[in-house]
Amino acid sequence: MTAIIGNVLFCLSATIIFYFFGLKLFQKYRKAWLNPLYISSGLLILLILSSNINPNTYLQGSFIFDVLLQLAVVSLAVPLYKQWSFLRKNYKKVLLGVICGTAMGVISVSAMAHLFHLQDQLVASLIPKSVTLPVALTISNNLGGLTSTTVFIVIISALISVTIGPKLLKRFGIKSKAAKGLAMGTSAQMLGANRSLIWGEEEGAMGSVAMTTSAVFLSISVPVLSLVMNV
Amino acid sequence: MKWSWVAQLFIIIGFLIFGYITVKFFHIPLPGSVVGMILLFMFLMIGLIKIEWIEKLSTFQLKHLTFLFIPPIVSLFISTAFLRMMHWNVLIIIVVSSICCLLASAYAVERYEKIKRRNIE
Repeated sequence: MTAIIGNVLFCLSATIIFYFFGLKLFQKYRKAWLNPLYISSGLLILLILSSNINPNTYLQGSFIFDVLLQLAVVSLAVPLYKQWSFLRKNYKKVLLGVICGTAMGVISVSAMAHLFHLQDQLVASLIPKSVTLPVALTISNNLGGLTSTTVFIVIISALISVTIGPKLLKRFGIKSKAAKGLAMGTSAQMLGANRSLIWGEEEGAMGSVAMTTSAVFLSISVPVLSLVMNV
Repeated sequence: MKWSWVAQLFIIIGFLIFGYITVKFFHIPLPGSVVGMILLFMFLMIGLIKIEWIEKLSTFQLKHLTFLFIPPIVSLFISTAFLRMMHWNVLIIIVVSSICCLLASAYAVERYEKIKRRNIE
């Protein structure tokens, strides 16, 4: 018991210290590649791998963050409530963007999985890849996916989307504020919503609305999906 | 009345538990956290919960959201699962489908706005 509390405390304090260090560094130099997420995680990984700290100490303590992440999902009700009138006015646009994006994501995953002859278990982890993490975990559990695989896929795909997204949208001549926000929120969930806040108020609102809507949309369509896939 | 951080946290935790109980009780195929969020949203709409009661904490939480993503990333890289997962075909699928997802939603919305604007003119 004491070991678990110790691990949680170590994990929490190490993460907090590195997060604030990364944040301060980012605020000082304001470079896009100095994203606090990359810097803090990178330094923390280096520290754990280079020192003789047992990686398991960190791994065992990190379950506390699952709880925090779930609490963050509940907190999403607040921005949703504040944006409600805005959302009601634009609901067609939001639904269109979220459904098209999520559907294309799922279709492309299924098509390529078929092409590469992937195992069903891996496909189940790939399906919810564009949804916010706690929701994705539940969906992939229902579909029979592996937790660690899902975490990996969700994080990597959010990182990829948030890194290439802004450039890609610019390249393809997407100018509409709503389109940019919705695309980022749908594909890179929380990270995307955060990124679209940098563009402006409307993009940010669209981003967080897209994140919530896509999570709800995909978790509702999973029972249907599992019927189709026969998992 | 001023709501302290702890009270705000208890409201959010309460709704998370509320969500889990609802999911268990009605056999809803949704994650407990999502149902908790929907419930909290409904309580906000009908005015049983005032936005000021939880605003401070939830804004703080969402502002520092990237913080919560550090542990999963770190855990991935320091565990052995990472190397097993790093297959080129999985990576290709992730990259291509991310691009598909981004472009599909952006194009659909931009198209929609154009058509709408044309109808108005």
